[in-house]
Amino acid sequence: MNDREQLLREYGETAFAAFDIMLFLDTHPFNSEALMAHAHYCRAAAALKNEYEMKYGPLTACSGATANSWEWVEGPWPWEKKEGSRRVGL
Amino acid sequence: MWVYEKRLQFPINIKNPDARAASVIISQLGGPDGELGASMRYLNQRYTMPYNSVKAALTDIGSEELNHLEMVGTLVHQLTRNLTIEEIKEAGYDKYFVDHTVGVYPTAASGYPFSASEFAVKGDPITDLHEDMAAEQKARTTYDNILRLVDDPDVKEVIRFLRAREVVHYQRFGESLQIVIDNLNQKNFYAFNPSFR
Repeated sequence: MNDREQLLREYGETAFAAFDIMLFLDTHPFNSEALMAHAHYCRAAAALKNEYEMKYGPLTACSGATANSWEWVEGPWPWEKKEGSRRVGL
Repeated sequence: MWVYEKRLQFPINIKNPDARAASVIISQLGGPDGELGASMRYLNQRYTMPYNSVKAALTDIGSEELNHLEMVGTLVHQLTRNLTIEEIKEAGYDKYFVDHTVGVYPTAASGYPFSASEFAVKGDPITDLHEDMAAEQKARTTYDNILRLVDDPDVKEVIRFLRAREVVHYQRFGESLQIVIDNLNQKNFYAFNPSFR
């Protein structure tokens, strides 16, 4: 796993923690421990997202522009493997 | 409203193509208990849900199912890349290939195309939440069956993640059903549809 994948994984895990606690809060909206944990993971995820986008490019389109290009369109897209696609052998 | 984030909810990097595995995993894309049906079922049930906690649960779980739809599509795509025609024929993938090449098309493993009848919106919060709990269990069973049918650890770790999410969603829908029951008017002892009168 390279540095980009490592940071994306760390962000993904932190954002997932925030998401899973959100589901819990939907049906336990007054649980103070979960409220605090949710706020903690949301802050941590926002910082990691920002770090990733500064180093490796946009995760959401609002971070998609650099001074002179529209970086949002650049690969790899999430379903792609690193080496890119090849036509099926016909 | 939705905003796209350019990543998968759980990373997928399949090294070995395997059309036979793809041909069963695709059922969780367009099959009777797949992620497409799950997402649209929950998101469309929201409009007649009277209680805010349950509106939130349907919104958030329905949105997570879109992540899972993308993950299953990614599995099918990566498992069917770089195949030769001989490999496609040997794996029995030719029947899919003839109509869709290696595009990702929502179908059950049987070949039956995705049917909107699987959305299952009844417009009664009690009925709908029972449906949702059953749907999560059916998807969990399907992932159990997929785990019996595939060997590649790169595929299995993704399927195990998706299976675990079905269990969590089942728990949240069970709590949602309890919220609906607790909110019923005491005069509504027989639990008639609380969203229509």
